[in-house]
Amino acid sequence: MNSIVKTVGICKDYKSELRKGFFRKERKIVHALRDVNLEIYEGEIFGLLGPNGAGKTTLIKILTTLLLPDKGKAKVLGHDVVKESIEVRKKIGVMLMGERSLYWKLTGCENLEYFGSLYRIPTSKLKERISDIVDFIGLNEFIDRLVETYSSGQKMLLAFAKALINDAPLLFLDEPTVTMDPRNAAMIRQKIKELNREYGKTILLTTHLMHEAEQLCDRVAIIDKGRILAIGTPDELKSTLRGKSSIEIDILGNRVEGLIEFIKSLDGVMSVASNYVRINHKEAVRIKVICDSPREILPEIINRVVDDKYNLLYINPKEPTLEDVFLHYTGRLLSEDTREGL
Amino acid sequence: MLQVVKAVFKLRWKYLTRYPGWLIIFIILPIVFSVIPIVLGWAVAGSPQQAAINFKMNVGTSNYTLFMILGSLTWLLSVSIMWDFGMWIREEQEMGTLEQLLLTPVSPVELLVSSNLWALFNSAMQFLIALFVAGILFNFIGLLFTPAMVLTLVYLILGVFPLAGFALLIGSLILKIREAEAILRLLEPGIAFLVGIFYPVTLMPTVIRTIALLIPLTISLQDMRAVLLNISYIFNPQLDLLILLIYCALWPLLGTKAFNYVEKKAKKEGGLGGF
Repeated sequence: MNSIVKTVGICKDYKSELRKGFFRKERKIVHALRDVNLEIYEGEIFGLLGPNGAGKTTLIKILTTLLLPDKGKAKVLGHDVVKESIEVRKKIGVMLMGERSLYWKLTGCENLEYFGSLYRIPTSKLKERISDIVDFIGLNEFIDRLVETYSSGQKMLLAFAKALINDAPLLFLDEPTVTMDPRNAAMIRQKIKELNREYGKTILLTTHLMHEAEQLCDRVAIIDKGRILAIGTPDELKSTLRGKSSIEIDILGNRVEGLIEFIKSLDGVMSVASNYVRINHKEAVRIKVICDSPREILPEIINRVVDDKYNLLYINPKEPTLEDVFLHYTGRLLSEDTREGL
Repeated sequence: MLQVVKAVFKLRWKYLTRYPGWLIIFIILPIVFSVIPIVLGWAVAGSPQQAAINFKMNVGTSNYTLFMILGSLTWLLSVSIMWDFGMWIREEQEMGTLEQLLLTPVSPVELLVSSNLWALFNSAMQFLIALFVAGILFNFIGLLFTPAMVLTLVYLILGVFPLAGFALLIGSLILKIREAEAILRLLEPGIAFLVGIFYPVTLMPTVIRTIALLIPLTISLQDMRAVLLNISYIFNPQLDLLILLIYCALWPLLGTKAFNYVEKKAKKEGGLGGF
């Protein structure tokens, strides 16, 4: 297979300052990326899966030449991202920062024309290209309106269209469906698939949505705290939990520390994590457990729930998902924000 | 390069026409701004005629109206270029579009040159329109259709071009410390004082005059006045021209160097897209 993106030992640190009063500042080093080695092959959809603050956007920014790595090398389509940045930028399409990447005082069409001109696409060809993109994504209804009148989802669709303007063979999509309603998100996922299957685009996308990665990606890298923890197809990653099971337990209220500690102490439990969810407008806690055998631990968990009078909403033993793989590797859930003072 | 310049001009023109209030302000403001010292001069001298006599005695011309108008227009031109360019960088940064521009295969220098050319074009147009409007209002329009006006425009261009480099330097500073408004507001009165918008720079003490001469517009303004009002040049026409030509090479070079340095640093530290 033809390698289209290759990184070797990429490291990136950020210096951040925490204000500790009017004059006092505390300097802190945040390790955004640590020794990232990655290879993406031509024609695949590759997903970077990780929570907020994991280092996904930093890696995309390095690969798209917006940031310089502190250490390591990266090549995109055979070009060094530091030494040949303009060559790299000619051949990539990027969707970064979503709706903030647009000129709000211009219409959608004027935005596409402007960015198309910066890719030096001849005017006649550009008009044709814009028309094709507008039809492909279905922007006809609002393309001639000022962007400031768009909904969040419409802005994201336009940002997606902008990434396609130069018909690049490689697309970088940073959280392409974030802030989109479910209908538009599903449509964008469908378009990403089409771009890959029918137009042969190689796509690197970041997401913190497990189902998105599972649905779209040929291969996925799990990234957390700047490190790549695992790479493989979704099935390969899930096979690391072969023979294991996952249980989701929803409890009403938020005082579940005792129950979590109890579950952790049970034999056969590999990982436990929890996050807050809203179920029927009520606050609840979802506990995720990865274990050897639900049959053995479920009775004990249920007994404890009954004894301690927890308000149990739902228990769901199921096959492991990518979210469970992430939990297995990190001990945390994808929905957690792991940003450090950035 | 031409396609990029065209695209930037088109974008900025659309933005300008979608905020039309600024167009009117830039034409009216210098005229209103010049009227203040003119009326003050009348009050101090006792009458417009006496003011003209006093002014001729000290400056060498009785046409104080054109003197003031040229001064305030030149100052507003410098302010306009610095705001236009400085705020452009900051606004793109705040909107989030600066990173998008740097994702395209256009080199940052091309973008800067294009944006700077727009700032120059826009400000020069405002200068000329306001000058002609003032010419009609203050009855010196005939002077603007003499051959001397061609030389005046040469001095204007030679003063404005290095100012683009100066604006680039300020833009780099803004990209780094992100306090566009504070920097620009600090510079405005400083430039007004040094360039000599309401008085000839030759009246200032030597130290201040020397500092003032580092600003290309000081020479440009005095020489425009010299051509149109027949008063003294800073040094002499040839030497002034030479200095302005040197500034035309020096200031843009300094500005580009500063911008490249700040951009590289921002790429290292990750500060390009920040607020």
